[in-house]
Amino acid sequence: MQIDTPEGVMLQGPTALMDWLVIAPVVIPLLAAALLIMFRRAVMLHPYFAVLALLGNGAAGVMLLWRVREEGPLAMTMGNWLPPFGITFVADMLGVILTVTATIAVLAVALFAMGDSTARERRFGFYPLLMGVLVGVNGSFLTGDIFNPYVWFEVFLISSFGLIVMGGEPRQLDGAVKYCFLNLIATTLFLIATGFLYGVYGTLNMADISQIVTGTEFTGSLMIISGLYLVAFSMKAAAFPLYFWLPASYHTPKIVVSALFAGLLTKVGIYALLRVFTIVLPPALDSWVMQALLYAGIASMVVGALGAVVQTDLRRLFSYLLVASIGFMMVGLSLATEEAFSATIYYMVHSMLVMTALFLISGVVFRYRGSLDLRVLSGVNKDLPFLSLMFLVLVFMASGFPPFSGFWPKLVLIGETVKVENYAGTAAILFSSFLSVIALGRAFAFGFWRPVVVEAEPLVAVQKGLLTKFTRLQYVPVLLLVLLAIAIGVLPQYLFDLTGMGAKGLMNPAPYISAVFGGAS
Amino acid sequence: MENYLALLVGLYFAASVYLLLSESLIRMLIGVALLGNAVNLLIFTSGRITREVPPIVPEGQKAVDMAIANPLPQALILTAIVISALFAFVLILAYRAYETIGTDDTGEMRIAEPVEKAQLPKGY
Repeated sequence: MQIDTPEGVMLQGPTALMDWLVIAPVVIPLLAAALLIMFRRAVMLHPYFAVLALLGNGAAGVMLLWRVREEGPLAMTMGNWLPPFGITFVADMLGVILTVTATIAVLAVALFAMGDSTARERRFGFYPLLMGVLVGVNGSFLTGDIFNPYVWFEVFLISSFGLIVMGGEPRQLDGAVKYCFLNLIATTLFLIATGFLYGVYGTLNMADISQIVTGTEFTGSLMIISGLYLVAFSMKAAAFPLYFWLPASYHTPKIVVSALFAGLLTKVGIYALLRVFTIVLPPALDSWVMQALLYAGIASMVVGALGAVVQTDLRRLFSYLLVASIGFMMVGLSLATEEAFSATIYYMVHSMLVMTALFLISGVVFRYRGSLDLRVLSGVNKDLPFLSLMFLVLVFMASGFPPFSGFWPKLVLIGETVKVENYAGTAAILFSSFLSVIALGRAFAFGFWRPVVVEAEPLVAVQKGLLTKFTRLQYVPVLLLVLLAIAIGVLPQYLFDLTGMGAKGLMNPAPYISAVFGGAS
Repeated sequence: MENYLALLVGLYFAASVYLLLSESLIRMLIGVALLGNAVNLLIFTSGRITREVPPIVPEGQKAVDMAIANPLPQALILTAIVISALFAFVLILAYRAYETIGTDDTGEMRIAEPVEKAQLPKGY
């Protein structure tokens, strides 16, 4: 039967096959998660299948990256309803770079979990939940509808709730309660803002909102909506003063789960800030919102680094460093210049790789030494020299030594703060980096370099043989991340080319909008 | 009508914020549930309250040519309601936490972040 559809409202004919690529980074892990649940008895096959799916997803992501680089933003319309009626997925440079990086981080986590998750945990659904997190994160990066991220946020929240309680120890439940409440409230705030936005502008399509809002005064309802978005996403990103849930919970789950969260979840908040305050609500770019972001960013950098200095638990130390790194990105966003945006995107990629790697290394150490407390942790270098070397390289990266990856975005950001004569920002970047060097350097000196002070006691699970014995296999994901981070540090121009394109897209939403409305066929 | 509903939404928000500021986990849970309802009502109100016909295209026509009720807010609310089933997870989590930790007072839930002063190693 031929269904008669009104022209101009609906797409005629099926979606072109190549356009499906836009949604592939969401569909592939979603299908993989469904299949993994269907075959939940074959737990031994789970890791292999998950890694395979992630490799496929990475390939699709790289193809998409290539196309976006050649052709500019791509859009795909769901259910053939033309925008602004249907839900649109838009792959622009910013979204695609982050999608690819997220897939790489999840791949590393999946590889690491091969030798780290017990059969019990796999039956409980470790790998499907891992895929679920990636589905939600990629969905948030690629959607072109402002209500849609709410759904994707919840998708990765549900999955992350499942992951964070895995194990059920009192510590984990305690951390999970705080994580769950704060994240639920943040997502609800986002929903409130979206409700208002719909009430005022009558549309939910990002490109459509952008067209309506551009050129209007930043007053009244627009200000309230922006304020709500600011609070909601800052909470998600764990920026000062809304970061307390992060150091309270990120050190409690399984370490491989911590690595996943540290790599991916806070960056979604930063991504949402970047997207909403540039493309969706451009008037916010020269308003007090940028001031608020600047001071929140400065405070996050300083408080996060100070927090890291006093921690003795390696994972809590990393959690505070994560808060500090969020500060760098917020300052980059608040400067609102093209170079600063480019450096922010670069920093996000760097932070995703390095934070995941740091937590994964702590995973190996924990399993082998049975503790991450710097008061007793010692002499890792003697037993695991190569791991120590990788940790040292990561220390250099995270604290921003040239020629490693953390250096370049910090250099650009310092240059930009000086250019706009924002010396408070300059000072905060330098001070925070200095404190990170102290915190991480000391972690290396005490945990890795110092001669053994307390004999190592491997985890009970390792002793009982519940986990496969310590294998070199776990070096592979860490090495993968470290090598990638070295590559982007030594040859920064390639990534800067891409992030520059992303930044240009944020400064000028016209190609994004025309991709949604023009290229929808 | 919108004004009354707006007032009601405000009342809901006030109540839920008050409950969320409490230290008792149970009250916070009720606060979260109330917050969800407040948002749903807010979206409903922001879609304008009209006494129009349902948005169904009559037979033989391609589009409706009269005023119709706005179906989108209801779709949004429906999505939000489905997702707020997540509340069930939080309920169970809170119960498990209460069972395991032995308190529902958030001020006393300090297992993940112990209060004891850190003994720094020598030379730290």
